[in-house]
Amino acid sequence: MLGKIVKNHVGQFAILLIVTTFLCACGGQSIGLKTEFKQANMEIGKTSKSDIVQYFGLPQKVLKDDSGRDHFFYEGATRLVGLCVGCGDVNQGPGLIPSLINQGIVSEGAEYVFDPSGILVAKFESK
Amino acid sequence: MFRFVFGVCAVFLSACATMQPPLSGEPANSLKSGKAVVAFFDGVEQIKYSRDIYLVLAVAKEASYSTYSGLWNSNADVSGIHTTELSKIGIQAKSLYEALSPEEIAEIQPILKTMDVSSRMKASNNSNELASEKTAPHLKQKLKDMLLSKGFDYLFFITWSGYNLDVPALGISPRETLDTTYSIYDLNRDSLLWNGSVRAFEQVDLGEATAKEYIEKNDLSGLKKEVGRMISEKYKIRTDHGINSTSVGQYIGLQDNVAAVKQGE
Repeated sequence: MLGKIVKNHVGQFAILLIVTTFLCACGGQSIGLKTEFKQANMEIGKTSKSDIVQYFGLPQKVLKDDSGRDHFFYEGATRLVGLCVGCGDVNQGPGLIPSLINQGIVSEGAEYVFDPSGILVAKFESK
Repeated sequence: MFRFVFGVCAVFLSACATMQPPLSGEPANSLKSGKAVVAFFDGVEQIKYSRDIYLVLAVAKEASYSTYSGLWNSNADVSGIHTTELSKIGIQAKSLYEALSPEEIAEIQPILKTMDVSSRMKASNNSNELASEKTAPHLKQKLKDMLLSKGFDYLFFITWSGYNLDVPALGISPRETLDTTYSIYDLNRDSLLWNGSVRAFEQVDLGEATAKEYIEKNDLSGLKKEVGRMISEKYKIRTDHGINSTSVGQYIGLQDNVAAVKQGE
């Protein structure tokens, strides 16, 4: 039965396959968030704030502690802010389960701490 | 059908820019003849990147935020851009960051922060109430006295909602948006002269770079270039198919609205 359907609609399936392949290739340019924290091998006492920004780009959050040290926080992934299936409005919320999964990945980032002269004095990278 | 399309366009355009009517007559002339100080305050200090991901039967949107807090003095740079553009349309404008000493700026920075809705939303538990504020904040006495003592008659207090760069799916060009709010104060009369928000949107060519690379590499050269371009473009009267865009000067009432002049003839 299934074979008969496929045989009768082989043309449509071929078009669907081509369109699907085309659409998959149309993801466009990426945001470019870098998350290879371990591989970057940033060195305590040597790496500077500008080295980190040059490599990873701007952090997602910056805090200054009471000792004048800057803490740069980098997230482990982009945030899923919208999702729609078979609809046109991508700005709808992605739903609870995808949000929770995404939040877990986002949290697996890194924290780099710099002394007031801008040298890396501590790093906390996700394992 | 034409009326329907016109109505939809009107609703769409009104959502892009909410503001008071343009100034005219004596207030507009006084604004042009007086001395103005331009103070941009960045309460956001954040870039928002977003991207659509086409999943054949679904579309997802991902986003990431980058902060340049402590890495770029956007207040001074963007005040300078607005000052240059306002000077071109006849305002005797000077940037706050050139008019005051670093000590004086440090002294009034907390006042500017309290005037900025974004900053107050960060610190407030009731952000919804602040977000729905329709009126510009009251001018603080200390700030007013300092600016009057420097010989200024008007304050252009400018804020924004932050720079956004969106990368749509299906090969559509990336686009950037910037919502800027202008509050013009008459320092002598201690009153708000004009208030309005203007949205700028442009297409941006990232080349082969990712969004973050293009915007953030070489000490944020992309961000500085795009912010400068978007602000400058919004001050220009652009023409397409014989129809003029509305410039910041026209919104405020500092430049003639060509369409309105023609209608009145």
